[in-house]
Amino acid sequence: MKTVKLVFALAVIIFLSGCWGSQETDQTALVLAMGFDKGKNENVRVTFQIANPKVIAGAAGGGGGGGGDQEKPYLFTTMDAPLPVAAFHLLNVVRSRDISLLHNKIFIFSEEAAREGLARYMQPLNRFRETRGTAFVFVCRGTARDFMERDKLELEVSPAKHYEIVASLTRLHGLGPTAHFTDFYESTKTHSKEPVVPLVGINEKGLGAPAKSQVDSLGDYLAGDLPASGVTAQFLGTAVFSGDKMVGELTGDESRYLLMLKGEMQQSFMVIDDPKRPGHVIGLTLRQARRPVIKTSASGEAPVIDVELFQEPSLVGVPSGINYEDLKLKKVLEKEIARLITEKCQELVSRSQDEFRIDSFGFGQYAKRKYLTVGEWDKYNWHDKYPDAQVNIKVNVKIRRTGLQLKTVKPTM
Amino acid sequence: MAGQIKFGLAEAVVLLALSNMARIFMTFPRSLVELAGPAAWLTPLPGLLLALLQVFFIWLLLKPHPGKTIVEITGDVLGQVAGTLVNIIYIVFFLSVGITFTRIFSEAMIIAALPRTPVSVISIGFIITAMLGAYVGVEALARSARVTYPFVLGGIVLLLTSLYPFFNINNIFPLLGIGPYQVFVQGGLFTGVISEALIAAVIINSFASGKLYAPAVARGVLMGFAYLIILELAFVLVLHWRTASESTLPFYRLSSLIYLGRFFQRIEAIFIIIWGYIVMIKISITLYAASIALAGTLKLSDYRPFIWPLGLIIFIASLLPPDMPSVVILESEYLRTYAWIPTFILPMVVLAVDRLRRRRREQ
Repeated sequence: MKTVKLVFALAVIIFLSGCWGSQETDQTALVLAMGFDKGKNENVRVTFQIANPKVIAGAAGGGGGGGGDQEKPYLFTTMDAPLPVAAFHLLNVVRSRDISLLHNKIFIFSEEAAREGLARYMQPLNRFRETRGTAFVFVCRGTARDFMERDKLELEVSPAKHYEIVASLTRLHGLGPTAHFTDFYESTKTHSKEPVVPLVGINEKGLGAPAKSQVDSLGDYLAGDLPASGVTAQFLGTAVFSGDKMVGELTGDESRYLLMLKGEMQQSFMVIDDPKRPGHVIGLTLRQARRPVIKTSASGEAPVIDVELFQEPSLVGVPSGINYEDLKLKKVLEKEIARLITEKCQELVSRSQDEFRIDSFGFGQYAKRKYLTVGEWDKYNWHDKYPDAQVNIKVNVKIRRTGLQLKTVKPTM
Repeated sequence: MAGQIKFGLAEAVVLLALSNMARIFMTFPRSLVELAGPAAWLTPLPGLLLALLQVFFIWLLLKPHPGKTIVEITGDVLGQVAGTLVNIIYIVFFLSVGITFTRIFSEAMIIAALPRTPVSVISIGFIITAMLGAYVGVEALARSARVTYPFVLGGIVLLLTSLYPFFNINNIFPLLGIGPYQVFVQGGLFTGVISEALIAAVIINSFASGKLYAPAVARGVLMGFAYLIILELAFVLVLHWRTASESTLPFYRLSSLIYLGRFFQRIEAIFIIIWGYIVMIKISITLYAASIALAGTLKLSDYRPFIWPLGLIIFIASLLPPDMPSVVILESEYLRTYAWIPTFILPMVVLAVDRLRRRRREQ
């Protein structure tokens, strides 16, 4: 009996060890980022950014490495193929290792491809077992290949880490959304919210790019247009989609209001005109106090949407020297901030209704609560009704903190 | 007979609950979403009532026959020919459950973890484990289930906690999903059919006392359905129902979505182990029940000689469906529909005949 048990135990060990599917680490090439452009003859052009283990091993260890000074920690290969996954398999012909997407955290789509529709890219990727639903999605102004090759990773060795951290930085600046692959894929299939994806681009002009003159236009740029020196890649603004097709772009400032209305803005920085001394500016850090309260009435021809936002800004800079810490003046400032946010949000909503004609804010998700069955909701046809919706926005602003200063004393003359 | 070894209420409850839960980790949650849309999580509510009804009727059948399994009672009540026929239907049902679970989970392992391994090799792995489980007996299965349960529970709690940031309450609306008929009638019939009430009636002699049948099965079923409702709700809260209905392996997809910062992700491998364990328990217990039922039908004292041939049948039959979609259709459209015959209708018929005869005898 002991022998039988032993044979059974050995059989289990042998058959469940996964020998067929094993991948040796020194035979695997890890794709860290993928870029998608339109290829020739209806093909897709896929750019793979692959980890170069010779250099990464040295860089992670703090020295040495066999890669030499000239080699980068990653390699690029671009392929044309009918499907993204087909390009991935073709890559095995070009590179000497077993290619794996298991560590790929980034998908970058060119604007041209996005405007034509991303379903042909997303569908096969969603089916593929190595695709990570948590990978980040970006839309690139220009070609994805060009962006990936020109984006210098000055602070990071790994492009995956670089893009992952950049994507998460929206929690600090709020000038662009974050989109995971699954979120994006899901939004292309629902009727109640449309996808939004962060925009990336290369700054060709450096500091020579034209700067905006209005005081309240701190982030009023698209990726690649912000005057900045040194780093060429910029992650700023939003690509707006209708289903799987990109239909427009939002600047960084508009993206902030988009995130506010979606309840996803954690923090952002804002500069406004000083209400007591026009021509001067006031710097504020915005924080969402709580998620927006959204109420909808979606029974008639034109839905009514009431949105209430809650913002808690902190004073960052008051160059005019006015004592806005004073309770009465603080109220004046709060009122001005509320007015400005209301106005900007309203402008953005109007743009979404008149220009894009889509609900990027996900108001439809609240409207469908009024319906009992999917059939009734589909029949209401939110997509067609949204452009005629009346959207009322109310902004509650309460300055809770004034930084390390409780009072501003006028300077002596 | 090895079935003489006894175990208590806790072991029985956990064994039956885990057996009932196995379907959650396959394509079943997706089928519910396809059926009921965003209200998929409501479908187990009427299903639970039907499942408890099955337990109640089988308990009514077992109650006047202490010390006897449903196989023996069926033989006694319906006579040799009809009784044997009904018992064979029970056995075929157990084998069918084993076959579909073996194939679907083998395919699931290929999709999720072992893409280059032949399906036959994975099936052999499951079958050998199931045969070993059935050979050592239900007591070993029950005690191992009891010991492992905290890890299963811990895994599910970890899954739910980690997925909490991805919950979108709007996803459960419209509240009645595709429609009340689909949710409460079709959904109830789809989720309500369970094999555990019948399995427990076959292995009742392994319980410390026959009186444990009702409390053990009812609690096991309640636990299984509670997990089903909670996990189905989590599934719908995380993925919009249109996307959820596309997913082959809902809980593999959910676990692969866990992303709590750069350092807490890619934990799906942990869950594959848990699912593998639960499905092995399921296949083992169905193979064991089929062997015990066959031994009982043929009035043999030992069930173990049947493990090898029945295991072989499960293995070979599991490879017959040409592809994964076919076996999913086989399970969801045919097995779940016709499973009402062995799990509900036949015990009811036996119960009715038994009652009628008793009444006549009393008169």
